[in-house]
Amino acid sequence: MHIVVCVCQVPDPQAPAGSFYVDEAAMEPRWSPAAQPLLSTFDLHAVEAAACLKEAHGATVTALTVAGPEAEPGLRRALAAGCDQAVRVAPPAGAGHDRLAIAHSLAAAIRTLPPADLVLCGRIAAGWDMGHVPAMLAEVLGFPYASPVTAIEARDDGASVELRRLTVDGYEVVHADLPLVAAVSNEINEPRYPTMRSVLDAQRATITVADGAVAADATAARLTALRPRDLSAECELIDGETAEDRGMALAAVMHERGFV
Amino acid sequence: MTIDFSLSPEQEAIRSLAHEFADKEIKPRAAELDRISDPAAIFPWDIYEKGNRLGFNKTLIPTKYGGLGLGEVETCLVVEELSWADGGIGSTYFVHAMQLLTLGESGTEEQKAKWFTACANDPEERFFMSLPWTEHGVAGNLSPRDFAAGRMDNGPILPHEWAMHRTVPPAEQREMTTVAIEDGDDWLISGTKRFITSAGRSKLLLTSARKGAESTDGAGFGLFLIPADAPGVSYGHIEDKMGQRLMQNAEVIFDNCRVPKSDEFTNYRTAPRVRGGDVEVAAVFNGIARRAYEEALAYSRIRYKGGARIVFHQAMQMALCDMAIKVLTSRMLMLRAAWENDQERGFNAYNNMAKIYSSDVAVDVTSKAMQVFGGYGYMRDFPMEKLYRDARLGPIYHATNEMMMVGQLIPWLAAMDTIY
Repeated sequence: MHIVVCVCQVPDPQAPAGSFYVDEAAMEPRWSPAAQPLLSTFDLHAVEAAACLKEAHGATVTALTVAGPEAEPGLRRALAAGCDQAVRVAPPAGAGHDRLAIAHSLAAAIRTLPPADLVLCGRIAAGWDMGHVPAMLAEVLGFPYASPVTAIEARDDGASVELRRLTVDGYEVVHADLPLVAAVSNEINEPRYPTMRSVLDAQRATITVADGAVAADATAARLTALRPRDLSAECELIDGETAEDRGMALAAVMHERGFV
Repeated sequence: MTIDFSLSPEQEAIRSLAHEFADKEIKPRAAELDRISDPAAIFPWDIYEKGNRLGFNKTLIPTKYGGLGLGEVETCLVVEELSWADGGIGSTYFVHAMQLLTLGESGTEEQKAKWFTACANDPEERFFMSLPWTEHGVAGNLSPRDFAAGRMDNGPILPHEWAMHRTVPPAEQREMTTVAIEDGDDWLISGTKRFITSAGRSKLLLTSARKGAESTDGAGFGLFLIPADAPGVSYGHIEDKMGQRLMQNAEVIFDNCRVPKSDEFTNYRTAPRVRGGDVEVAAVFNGIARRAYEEALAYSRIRYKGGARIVFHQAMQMALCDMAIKVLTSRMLMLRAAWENDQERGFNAYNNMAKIYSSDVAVDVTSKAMQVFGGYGYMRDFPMEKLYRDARLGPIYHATNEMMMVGQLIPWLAAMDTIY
């Protein structure tokens, strides 16, 4: 089985909130000082899921990202956590926030690798919290898609998997033929710590840098403005003779403004 | 131009892993474990086993014995991060690292093959070493009286004598009550050691003893490798400490413990001295100091007092600046000493300087950080009082700062006209 895990780096979610600001001109979030980039939380779970499948059934696992060289520490973390090889595709020029270009680039890279039986992603990147790429990737590849996945087991036939997929009030069990794109949620596992030896081995491993990113489509959705959320608040006191009056007045205001 | 203050990608990856482990596995539990009143019930084996599985107790073991083959810079980075979350856990790893270094430097090939391999391949992941030297009446390593009054008057101390485990002055040996009596191919060791880190938890003891009842010269001092569960070894009082409670310190009692002569460090006085000392102790106190600074800075940014968040008050800003300067300079001195050791340039007192400075800095920085917290800093709801208690061991630990100055730093500086 060949498993491809698509990963990305995000700014450290534990960076102090007070250091965060929005650079409106560049349309980029910023941290001062710069927050350390880390492998996105859900991607760590995807890497662990791949490592578990590899241990249980045997597999080759490739970590893949579309990003600049600053993403290599994240790929090395994926290598230390169980991936066998890492591929970085330089991002297409002007991709900016065009997720479709990222999905096309990932798909193009996956097609150059040995045929992928299973493509795992984190269900959303812990940076922008959008979760667009995995579904787009499945569409571009023409693979079935499942998300958010909280359990995954290879079936004995070697050509399908059993998934547990979260629903609003429970979960459903799905048998899916391979190949497949599955976006995993944090419930799926507890990522192990890489050992110091695997960390050192990963530092010494070669990361394949591939060209061939698919350029962004100028007509695709694109970011036109990025502004910080307005956190200002106004306090309004509800008046009334008695507590009951004040309660009634509050209910009326809430109803009037659509809160209830 | 070769100077470079940045960590290599490997070092940064190791530091990052140790920090992640400390942040997720140690920090959330340290305060609760610290409050357990019975010192025998604290030692968190589950944390230590997890850490050892990642390799934290194998950094200094050469790769040919199954270790990671890393140096003291890397070990200091790991110990600092672990100590950032809990000084006691950092200290357990520091003491273990110190013994690995001694074994590597002074052990025979057979001793190294046996014990490095045992540590690297321990299926339980519980391999720690202890150093039973200290006794009630003698620290077992340094005597200011001998250095200050005797040795310095009798001429310079040769560099190879400076190392603590080489130089046990005659008077100190006479005071040492643990004795090794020759018995055929064995030594019989009897005596009581105290304050011993990891005693009762470790698997191997590197013990000092006076050889023969009348021995008065350096040749009469011996170092012996003893399995922690050997017949004749037992453990007494477990110390109820003010801080660093997640490491265990206890008495080690030897009662006619039979040690084969092959388990003695016969060449500890003559083996080439390649390292400068035991700088990992500085990493413990740098970790504590850095954590205190971070806590104080974060608190000052959210605490509103006197019309503004207190980080905007100049008094707080100056205190935080002072802390930051000390934390950074102390780490730089530690890394310099660790780097000197890794270059195998022989004995130097940068290690002593790093220990003395880092421990003073940790006490000072945790005290100032507590001041930033005001009344809350004194309460157990906040982390400062534990950090202060953990830091306060520093000037006492691993030879008091005064002993370390008199015994090692002053003689070293006395032989030089400047320092660089």
